[in-house]
Amino acid sequence: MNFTKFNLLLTATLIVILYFMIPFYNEWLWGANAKVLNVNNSMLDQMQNLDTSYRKAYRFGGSYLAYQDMKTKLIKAGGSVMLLMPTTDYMKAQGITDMSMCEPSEFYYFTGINSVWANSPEVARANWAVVAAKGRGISLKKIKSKPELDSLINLYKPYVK
Amino acid sequence: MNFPGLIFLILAHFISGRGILQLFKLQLKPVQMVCLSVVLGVPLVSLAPCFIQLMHIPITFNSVFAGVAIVTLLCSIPLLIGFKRPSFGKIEWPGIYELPFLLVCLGLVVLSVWRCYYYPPTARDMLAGPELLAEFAVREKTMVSSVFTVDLHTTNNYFKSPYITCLQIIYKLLATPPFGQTWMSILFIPFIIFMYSMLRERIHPFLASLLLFLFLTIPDLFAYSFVMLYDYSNMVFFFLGFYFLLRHLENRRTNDFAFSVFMFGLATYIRVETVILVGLVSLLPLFVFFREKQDIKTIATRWAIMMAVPTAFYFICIDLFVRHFVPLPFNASNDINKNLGDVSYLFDRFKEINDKLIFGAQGKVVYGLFLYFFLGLLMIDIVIFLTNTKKQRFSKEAMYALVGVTIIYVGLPILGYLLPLFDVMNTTKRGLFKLMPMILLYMSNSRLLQMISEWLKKLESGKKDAPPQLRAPVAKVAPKPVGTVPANVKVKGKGKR
Repeated sequence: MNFTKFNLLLTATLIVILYFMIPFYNEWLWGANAKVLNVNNSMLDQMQNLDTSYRKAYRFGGSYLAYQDMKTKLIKAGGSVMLLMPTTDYMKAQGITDMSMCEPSEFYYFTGINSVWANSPEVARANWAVVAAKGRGISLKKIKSKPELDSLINLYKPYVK
Repeated sequence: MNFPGLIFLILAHFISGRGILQLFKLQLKPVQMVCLSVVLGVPLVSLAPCFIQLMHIPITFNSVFAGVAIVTLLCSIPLLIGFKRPSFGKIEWPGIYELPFLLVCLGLVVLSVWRCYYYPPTARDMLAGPELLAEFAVREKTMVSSVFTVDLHTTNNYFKSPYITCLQIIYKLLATPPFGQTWMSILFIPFIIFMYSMLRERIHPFLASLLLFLFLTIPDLFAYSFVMLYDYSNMVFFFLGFYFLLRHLENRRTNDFAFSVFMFGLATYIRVETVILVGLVSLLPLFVFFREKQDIKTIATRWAIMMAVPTAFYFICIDLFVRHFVPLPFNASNDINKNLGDVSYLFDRFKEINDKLIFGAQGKVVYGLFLYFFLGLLMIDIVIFLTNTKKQRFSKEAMYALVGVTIIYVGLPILGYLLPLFDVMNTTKRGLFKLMPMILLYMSNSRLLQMISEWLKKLESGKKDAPPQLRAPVAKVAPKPVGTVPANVKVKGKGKR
C-alpha cells in the first residue's frame, strides 16, 4: 500500500467518524432512539427469537396482543361474528391511551374476523361490540337488541373521522 | 426459510431480466448487466400470479412455481436465441481507501436484509391493501378472496397495482414464509451495486464510495429498503428510466431510448400516477430534439412512444389486473381534484412541501442532511462557474440531472394538486425519494467533485501532486481537412459533436 492510499484510507476513516459525530446522524446511528444500532432492536437478540408470533407482537405492539385475545374469545363464543369497533379517538376519550384500534380491513388481517366502524354501511349487521369504559378497560359484549346497537353507534359515531 | 426456493427465485429474476435486457442490446459493464438483470427480473416475475389468477387456476405452491418458471422461460427466449458465451471483464475491486465507507454501507445492507426477513409488513397501506390481499390469496388460493366481504370503506389500497400483492404471494409460498418481503432486498442490493458502478464510471472511487455512503445514510430511504411499500421500487425504475433517457440524449442509441421507456412503463405499473411525471420528463427530450432542429415527425414519434408505453402499462394495471382482481366498482375519476380551477391549492401545496417537508424539521428526520449537501455543492458549482474566467460549463449530464431534480420538485406538488389523496407527510414524502438518485447523479458530475476527482487520480498515479485547478473543457476544434479534400470544402459529419 503506497503512502497516498494510506492517506486516503485515513481521510475516509476521519470522514466517517466526523459524519457520525454530527448530532443528527449520531442519534440516528446509536442514540437513545436510534434507528440503526438500538439495544431494544438488536439483531443478535432477534436471532434468538425467531418465533413468528413473537416477531408479530414485537412489531405490532400491545394492540396486536389485544386483538389476538379478542379473536380467541370470539371463536370460543362461536357463531358468525360482526364486531362493532370504536376508533382510537374514542378509546383515548375513555382514558385508554395504550391501545389503538385499527380499521376493519387491518383487523381482518390480524384476526380473520369481520368488523365495522360506527359509520359503516354494514353496521346494522354488528352482533358483537368492543366496549370501553373509563377505569374498566375494554371488553367484548354480545349485542342482543337493535336499541342496544343504536346506542353504541351513537356513542362511537362522533369519534369516527 | 426455504433456501432452495429463494435461490430459484433469485435465478428466475436474473434469467428473466437478462433475457429482456438481451432484447435491448444495451452496452453495459458486466457488473451493471448482472445487477440490472436482477432488478428488472423482479417486476417481470411478479406477473406470474396475475396470469395464474386470470386463468382461474388455484394459487398454490405448485402453480406459482410453474408460473414463475414459465414466465422466466418466456423472458429468456431472446437470451437463448442470441446466446453467446458470457465475457467476464476485469473486476474492479474497491480500493483499500474505500473500505471505511463501504464497510458502513455493507453493515447497513446486512441490517436491511435482516429486517426485511425478520419483521412482518407493518405499513398501514400494506395491511389494508396488498399484504392483506396476498395473505388471504395464499390461504384461500385465489386473489378474489374473502377480503372483499370485509368493510373496506375506510381504505382504497386494494385498488393499487398488483405488483406487491403478487411478489408477496410468490415469496410467501416459495421462499420466505410467513412474511415474504425478501424480494425487497433482491431489488435493493443490485440497485445499490449498480449505483456504485455508475458513480465509479464518473468520478474517483474514493468519491464514488463517499457518495454511496451519503446515499445509503439517508434515514428514510434506508428505512424503506425494508419497510414494504411501493415507493422504493418506484424510485428504482423511475431513476433507471431517467438514466437511460440521459444515455440516449448523449449517445443517440435507440436501444437506450427504448429501454428507458420500458423502465418508465414498469415504474408506472408499480405506481400508476407516475405516468404524469413521465409526461413532465418527456419535455426534456422534446426540448433537446427541438433545439437540435430534428425532424418534427421524428420528434412527434419519439414523444408519442415515450407517452404511449407508460400509458399502456397504466391500462394493463388498472383495466386488466385491478378490474379482474378486485370485485368492487372502481372509478379513477373519484380520486381527481373536483376543483381544478382553484390553482391556489397548487401553490399552497408547493409551499407546504417546502415548509413542512424539505426545509422543515421533518425534512431533516426524513432525508438527513443529504439535501443540504446537495444544495451546498450546487452553490459551490455555481460560484465556480461564475468566478472562473474561462466559464466552465456544467456538463450535459449534470444539467440533465438538475432538470430531473426540478421535474420531481415541481411534479409532486402538481400530483398533490390533481390527486388530493396524495398527501404531503406520507405520499409526497416518499415520492421525493425519486430525487435522491438524481441528486447522486448530479453530484457525480459536480464541477467541484470532478476537480477533486482529477486531483486524486493524479495523486494516485504518482504524478506530481498538483492542487486542484480550474481547467476549462478541452476546446472543440474542428479537424483540419486532410488528403484530397480542399480546405474550403465543408465535410458533412466531421468537426461536429
